[in-house]
Order: sequence, then C-alpha cells, then structure tokens
Amino acid sequence: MKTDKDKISVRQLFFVFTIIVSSPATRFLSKYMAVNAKQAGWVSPLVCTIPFLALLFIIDSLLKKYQDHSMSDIIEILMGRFIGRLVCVFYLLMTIYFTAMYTRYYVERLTSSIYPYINNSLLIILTLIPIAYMLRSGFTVIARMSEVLLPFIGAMLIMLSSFLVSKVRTDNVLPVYFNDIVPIVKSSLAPAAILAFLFYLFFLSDNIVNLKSLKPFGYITAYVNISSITLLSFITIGVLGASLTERSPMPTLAVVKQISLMDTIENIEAIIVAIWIFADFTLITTFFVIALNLIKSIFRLSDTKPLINTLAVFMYFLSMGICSTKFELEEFSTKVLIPLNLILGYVFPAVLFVLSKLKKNNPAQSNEKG
Amino acid sequence: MSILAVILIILLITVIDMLPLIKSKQRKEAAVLIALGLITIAYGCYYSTHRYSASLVNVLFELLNMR
Repeated sequence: MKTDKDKISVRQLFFVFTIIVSSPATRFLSKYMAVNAKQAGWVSPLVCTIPFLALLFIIDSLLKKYQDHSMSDIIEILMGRFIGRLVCVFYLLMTIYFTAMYTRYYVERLTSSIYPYINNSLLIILTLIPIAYMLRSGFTVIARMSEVLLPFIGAMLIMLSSFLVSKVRTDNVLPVYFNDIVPIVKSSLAPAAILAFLFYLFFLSDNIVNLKSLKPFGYITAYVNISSITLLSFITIGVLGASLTERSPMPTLAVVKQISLMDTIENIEAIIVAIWIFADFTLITTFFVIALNLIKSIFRLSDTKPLINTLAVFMYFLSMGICSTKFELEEFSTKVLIPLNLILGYVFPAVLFVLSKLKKNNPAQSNEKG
Repeated sequence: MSILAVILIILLITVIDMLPLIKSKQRKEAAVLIALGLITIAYGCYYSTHRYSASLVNVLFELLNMR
C-alpha cells in the first residue's frame, strides 16, 4: 500500500513539467518558429496560452469528478473497459516511443555538441543505467531533485538572457503585422504540442497528492513556461535573425556561444549543456515512469519494479533502431508527432470532458450511495 | 552484438527479475515480464541483423504513407 511519502505533490509535478518542457524548447522551438513565422516567430508561444489553460481546466474538472483515480482509470470509466484499455495501450505505445525518441535526441545532441567521437550506443547505456537504478527508489526522487534544481535553471535562463539582451537587433524581431497572424498560429503548433505533455503526466495522478491546488499552480506554470519559451525564442531570433536561426542545427547553443563579458568571461555554453543533460534525464525518466504506470493500469499489476530492467533493455534497442540519422527523426517529429500530440494532448481530453459531462454519476459515488 | 549475445543478455536480465516474482507467486507480473522479455528479444534480434538500416521512423513513414 502506498503512503503519502511515496507520492508527489502537484507543485512537484509542475516543477517536473517545467523541466521536461525546457528540453525540447531549447532543442527545436526557435528553429520551428523561425521557419514558419520568420521575425514574428517569438510571438507564437503566447497563442498557446488559451489551449493550455483550457487543458488545465479540463484536467481539473476530470480529477475533481473522479477523485483518487488515475487518468487511465478515468478513461476506462468514461469509455468502457474495452475501448478505454485500447486507448491506454495507444498512450502506452506513444509513451514508449517518446522515451526512446528523447533518449536518441539526448545522445545525438551530446555527440553533436560536446562528445563528437563517442559512440551513440555507449551514451545510451550510460543514460539508461542510472535511470533504471534511480527508478527503483520511485519517482519521488526525481520530483524532489526537480524541485531543488528548477530555481537554478530559471536563474541561469535569466542570467543568459540578460547577457544577450544587448545583442538583440530590433530589425530581427520586428515588424509584426496583421499578415503574420496565420504564420504565428501555424508556428504555435509546436509549443502547444510540447505543452500537451501535461496530459501525459496525469497518468500518474494516483501518485499525486493535494490535487485541489491544481488550478493555482497550473496558472503559475502556464505563466512561467509560456514566458520562458517566449523569452528564449525572442533572444534566439533577435540575436541570430530568422534566416540564420532556421538554418542553424542548434540555434540556442549558437546564441549562448556568442556571450562575452568584457572580453574575459567567454565560452559559457557549458551552462546550457548542463541544463540539457539534467532536463533530458528528467524527461526520459518521467516518460519511463508513465510507461510503467500505464503497464500497471492496463494489466492491473501490483508492482512494476521487476519490469524496469527489461524495459530499459528494450528502450536501448528501440532508441538505437528508431532512426538511421537524426534528420529522419526530426522530420518525423515535425510531420507526424506534432499533429498527433495535439490530438492526444488536447482533442482527446476535450472528448473525455464532454463524456464526463454527459455521464451523470461517478460510479464510485453511486456505489457509496447504494 | 550478435543475436546469441542479445538473447543471452535479455534472458539473464529477465530470469534475475523473474526469480523473486516466482517466489512471491506474483503470476500476473511474471507473465507481463515474460511478454516484455520476448518483445525485447524479437526487437533486439531485428536490430542486430539490420544494424545499419534499422529505422522505426522509416517503417512508420511507410505505414502512414506520409513521404
């Protein structure tokens, strides 16, 4: 039986969420925005505010109605056992795919930035072994670690931004016309797809306490995430310009490399690499835990710890065989995963919300009355 | 990595995790672990024979007919 000690709070969950958003945000968002909306790309994260707040409202409404249930249980209650399990299996496959994909992205990023001569296979093994070891102590360790390290990441972001503000050229980020509305909305799909990871995190909702404060913490998280993504894209596009940002393989790293303080402090890209390593580690671990929790819900298991090692070996082979080059993976992410994630992260929760409104009684409540 | 090495490593890891489950009679967990082990062996063997051309993303692109 689980005690409160093994559970995490909503606040910790949102800390984890902010960290896992920062990883893909620094990797490809500025580039995607520059490709689609050119100099107006930095405005596009602001468009995500509306769908993200709607998602928060939906999750809050579902969890209030079906208290002490995980999201997979809620899906089964609302859609029936067979369809509900089928949907959960699909989410499980997606989660496993995301774990393998982000492991590969993590390794590719390390080999293209700091370890060009190291084999991918070795880096994947060195990533998955600590994850498998750490997960034996439960997800609470990762949540607490995120709670401690997120303020440092925030401080680093502010520090790097303040160093770079003077290098921002106004002609790189302006003008923003009415004609830019369609490209801005189009480029907002990528940040919206990343923010949709929030729904995946609630597959752990049976491990979360203090769900009553979901909305207030959710509003703060929305503000922090959207403003930091806007700041990051503003700085990147503002310093490099849209044309250079869309052609650069890692625009954020290219921007950070330009920092020079009074010609003495230079080459501080190690800071951004450290943030990447920690953010990717948290991201991979979180999706690993969600996959384990989904397996637990689908097969009604009492414990998933014995599955960790075998799943880690499976993740190794999957992340090695997921693509032959990084470009294939990026193309697949842009063409397939962004629309798919929008459906799974926003459209499907909206369907659940409608079903919950159509369904009069919560079965748990009706059992209590009976 | 040869196919034999892949099978041996996965079998070893699965058996080590399986022993406590058998002792505590957690049959469902053991069954899921066996299934996961078999899937891992199957994909591991596929990967080790197609090391230079294996690409799940390409297979998905072909399935979805999106290229």
